[in-house]
Amino acid sequence: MNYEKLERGSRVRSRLLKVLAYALLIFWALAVLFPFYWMILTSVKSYGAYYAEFTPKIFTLSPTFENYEKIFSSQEIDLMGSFFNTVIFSLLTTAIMLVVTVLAAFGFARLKFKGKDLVFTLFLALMMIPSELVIITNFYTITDMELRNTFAGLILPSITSVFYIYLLRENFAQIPDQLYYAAKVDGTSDLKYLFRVMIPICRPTIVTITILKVIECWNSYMWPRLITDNKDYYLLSVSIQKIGDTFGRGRSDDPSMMAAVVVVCVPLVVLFMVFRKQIMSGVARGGMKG
Amino acid sequence: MKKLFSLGLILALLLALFSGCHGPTKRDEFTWDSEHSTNFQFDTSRNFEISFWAKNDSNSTQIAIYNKAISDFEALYPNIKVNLKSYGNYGEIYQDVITNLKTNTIPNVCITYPDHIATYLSSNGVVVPLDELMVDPRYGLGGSEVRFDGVKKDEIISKYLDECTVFGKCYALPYMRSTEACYINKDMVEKLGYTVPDVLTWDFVWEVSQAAMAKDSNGYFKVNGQKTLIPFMYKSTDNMMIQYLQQANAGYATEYAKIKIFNSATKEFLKTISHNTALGDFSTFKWDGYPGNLFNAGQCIFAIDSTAGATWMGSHSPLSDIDSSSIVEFETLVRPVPQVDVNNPKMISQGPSVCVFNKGDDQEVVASWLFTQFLLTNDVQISYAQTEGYVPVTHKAEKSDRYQAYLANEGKDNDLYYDVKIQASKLLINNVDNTFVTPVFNGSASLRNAAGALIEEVVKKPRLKDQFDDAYAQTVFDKIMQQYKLDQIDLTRADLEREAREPLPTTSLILIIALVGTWIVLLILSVSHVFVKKRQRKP
Repeated sequence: MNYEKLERGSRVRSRLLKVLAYALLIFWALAVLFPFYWMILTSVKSYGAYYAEFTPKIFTLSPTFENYEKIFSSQEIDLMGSFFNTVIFSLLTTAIMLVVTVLAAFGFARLKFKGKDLVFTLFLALMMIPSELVIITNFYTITDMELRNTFAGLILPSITSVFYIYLLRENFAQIPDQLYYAAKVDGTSDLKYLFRVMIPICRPTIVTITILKVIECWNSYMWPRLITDNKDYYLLSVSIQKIGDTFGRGRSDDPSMMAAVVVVCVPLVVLFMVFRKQIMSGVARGGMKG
Repeated sequence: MKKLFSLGLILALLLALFSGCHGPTKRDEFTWDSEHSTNFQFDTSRNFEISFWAKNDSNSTQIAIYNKAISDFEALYPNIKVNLKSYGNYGEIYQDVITNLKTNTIPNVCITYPDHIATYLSSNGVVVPLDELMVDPRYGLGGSEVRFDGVKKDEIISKYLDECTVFGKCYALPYMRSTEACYINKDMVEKLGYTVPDVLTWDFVWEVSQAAMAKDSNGYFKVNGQKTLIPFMYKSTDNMMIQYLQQANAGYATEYAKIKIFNSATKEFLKTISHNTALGDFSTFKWDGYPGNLFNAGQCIFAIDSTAGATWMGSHSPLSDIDSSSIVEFETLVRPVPQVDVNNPKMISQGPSVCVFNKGDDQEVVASWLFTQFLLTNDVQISYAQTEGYVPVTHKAEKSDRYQAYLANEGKDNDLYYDVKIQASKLLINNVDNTFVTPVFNGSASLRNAAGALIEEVVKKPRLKDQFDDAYAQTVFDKIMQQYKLDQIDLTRADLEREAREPLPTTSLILIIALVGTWIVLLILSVSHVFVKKRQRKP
């Protein structure tokens, strides 16, 4: 009898805990998802309806796609052009960054040269300098080189990442030396060893770096905003801000801006769905190493 | 030897890292003396490309006017090409100019405010002083070599031209002018049993606003039959504070940057604002959005905004932001901003000016200057003024038949001749002598923001009169003083120049020495680490 009572009590407690946990999770999920809901909701409200609401409404009975039409038919902002610019920028930056990172990490992990540790320490010391600070000197340099409003100007400052070099170097360093010596006995060159042995072994880390860099490029705003003032070179982030400024007759056109944000989010969401596993493990790996 | 080489390389790298910092752009100030005036010949065989940064309200008509002005100018001067860059607001232009000052990628001609020029002038010689250029007989205003019917110096409204004087020199030409106006829902005021006077007082506005707060048993406001009502709304709280202090003859700042804003009149005004906000009859743009939106929806009685924003105000406004279904039918009156003394009205003068930047080439400066002059020709002035409630800055444009006909057609339609817009323009035209501007110095833009922030602070946490004591007012003062670093701008121009010549402050010096010291210690540790390792390896 007592035993049954205890069991029932334990079941009730466990259920209560479960309910509480789920309630908290649901609350947290709503808190996280609400901004996305708000974004989509605002994007389907007309400009007039949006500004007529003194207290913002959390639903609309007359949704409209006029904001989507507006952003794609605008003469002032070429959203599709910006989309392709962002794709080109993200892919090129990531590709060049990968080459630089892999070669640098290989050099630091495998090659022997005088002052290697010192240079690597200096490299790590660079991580202490906030990127916002470097932006100022980069801005002067790129302007002096007359690279504003060019893809080169957009890409160049982003092709080196000390953190990714460090991350990959740690991975490369974990590969046993015996493999390297065995390959050398077989007459393999350093580069061949890198491409045939090291890269395949460290593929998960390289995929992680690639994904994180693509996301970083896709979301970058400050540098592109600073370096481009010609709409032919605008990235999506800059175009979205311009949409807010340009469409609103002197006032920020939030509904159009939100429509543009929804459009921009779609490729990222698709990317996440496709590479969900890699991103999750990659972020966890990046977090552990960082 | 190799170690020494590595060490040297690292030191060189470090030095390169530290030398990445660029100093501010300094160049000789542009001068236009009598010798220049006599010998200078504008080179028409050389091609110039000048950049013009301007603000428009995303109003396609304004952009079209700029583009027409540019093409008309380029037809007169085929060797000058003008590239227009449009901005959504003045703050963005200001930020972009500051960003580009150091790299000399500033524009040639730029729409600006005198407060902004004061900051630009911290980079010596960057902004062209116009005093001598203006009176040059050949290239000056209405000069003999100018290829269009330009405006002469005495044809610019002197009050507006004087506003462009910064540190004793004229650094800009006025481009458009506006002031603030109180847009009034006449129907609601009369429903409350009041009559709108020609000149409002603050007391009248507060009284009517409080009277409007009465609700029926269902919680609807009696005056508009809606659940929402903010009787009094102010767009620019900076202007609200500045104008009140000027009207009350209370301190704001001296021309030598002495801050006077923290005084008893400010305290009393903040107390009134706080009290009315607590009662629910006052709010600002920052907290409740554009006054025009509530005004057009019949949810606001007194909406104060720029006269340039008149196209957004009223039941039939051509540019209303809200759905037509939300707009309520009522009669709109346009009055000066509320006053302390109705017999001595005072209102702020605002609106864009245009300055020329010196990029180190006199020929380019003259090309830019010619275009600047062109912006003051009648066609540009009148066309632009008609887009919103701006007024032209020249007597020539203001008295022209075209502009007079425009004013006379008030209310002919709800577009070009929209009555509220033309009434707002007339308000400024009739009150030019009652306008004022605040002193300009390096930091005056911060003081301006601080003036508005004082109001926003009490609107954020409103208190009824009896809870608003001196101690609370002092807390607000201290907070804003710190936030806007007002204690650091209480310097004269001479102080600033002297400070620039003086050596670095001790704290900065200590910081730099500490940073360099840290790097040196790191370096020594790394090198000694290498040596220790080497020694350990030796048998």
